[in-house]
Amino acid sequence: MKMDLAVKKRIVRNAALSLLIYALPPALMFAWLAFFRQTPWDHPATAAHPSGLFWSFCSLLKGNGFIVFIVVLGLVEFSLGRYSDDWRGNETVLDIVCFALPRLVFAPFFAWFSLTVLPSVAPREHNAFGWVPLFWGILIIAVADDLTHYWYHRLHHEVPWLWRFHRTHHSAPYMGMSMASRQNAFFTVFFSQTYVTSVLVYLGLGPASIAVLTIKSIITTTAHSSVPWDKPFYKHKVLHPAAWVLERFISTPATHHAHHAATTDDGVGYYKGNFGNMFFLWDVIFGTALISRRFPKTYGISHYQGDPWYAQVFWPVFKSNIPGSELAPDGPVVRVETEQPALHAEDMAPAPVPAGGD
Amino acid sequence: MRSADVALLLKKILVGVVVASIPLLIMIGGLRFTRALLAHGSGRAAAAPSRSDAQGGNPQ
Repeated sequence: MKMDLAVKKRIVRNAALSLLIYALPPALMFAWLAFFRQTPWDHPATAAHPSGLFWSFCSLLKGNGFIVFIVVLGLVEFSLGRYSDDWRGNETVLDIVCFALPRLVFAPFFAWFSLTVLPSVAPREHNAFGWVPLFWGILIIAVADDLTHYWYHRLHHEVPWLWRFHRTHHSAPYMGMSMASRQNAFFTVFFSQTYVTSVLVYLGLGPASIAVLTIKSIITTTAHSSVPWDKPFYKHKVLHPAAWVLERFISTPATHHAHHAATTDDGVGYYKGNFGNMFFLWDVIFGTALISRRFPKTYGISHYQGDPWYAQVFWPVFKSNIPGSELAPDGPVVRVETEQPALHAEDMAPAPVPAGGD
Repeated sequence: MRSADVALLLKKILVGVVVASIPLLIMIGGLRFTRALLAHGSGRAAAAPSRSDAQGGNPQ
């Protein structure tokens, strides 16, 4: 199955713009340092050492705080009955395995990469950018990590042969905090932004990365959550200006739930776009955004028949036994529906949609 | 796992490497360039003698 030419052109155009966006934080820092005649490399020890309430908050969440946060969020979701109908059997096992794998297996692997591979590959580069001031470090990591995440995610939707590595994340017919880690193992292990951030941490941007990843974890987890924290912003008129800024800047439950909808182009669901993880701004810039302030009625993939959890986690090592499934041994690269709206190959080409919807 | 699956995985890894390499090159290049250019500029400013120094410290 080939990629649509219009999609290709659009990817190339947006990728070229991304090069400029990536260059922006170092360029702005250069201008700042040149204007104020600062040379932070003369005093690297004081450049990137944070303190204060925000840092305490980040340190708390970076430790066991985030686990406590997601457990509490999960309990709230359970108490609201969000999983009551669909979360059983195969889906439960799949979510639990996907929740545990990154924490028990992938985290040690990434630690090994950072602590063993990088020092052996570039021993003299350790802390080479330890002089970068914290504010600029945060900006650099935020753009480097999240824009790379946006592209990694978007390519898995728009390049047909990559779709099956990301299908697991979209197969659930419900939303919840566990959805954030519900991924195929190969999708997670080769997350580009994890390696980008690991290298930047090794080069000396560790404190900045803790601040960014703390905020990012909260935003992405709550965007997947079935607790619609953003609804009050749409309900109360006094909050509308804040909502306007918020929904364009970061991923909210409304915009990210639309990305997980079983339908698209119905004014609410939009799996052809809304790819942003921490920042929704990328979707606004690249024209892949749909802001409706509404929540889809159905989630998941319309033709999903509950592929076994092991096939969803470890495809292509293990295959699905569901005939016609994209994860089956001779299944289609992208299943084309004829009667129901589903993930058509041609649907994967995002049409330009304005980021409107006020 | 068939050879086609292995090829698919390798292709996927390659995409991941490209997606990760581009921002890294830009960021690392930008930071190195910043330091090299500003350190060179400030070093030259510090090394350059002032007008009074050039005149033997005697401004007339």
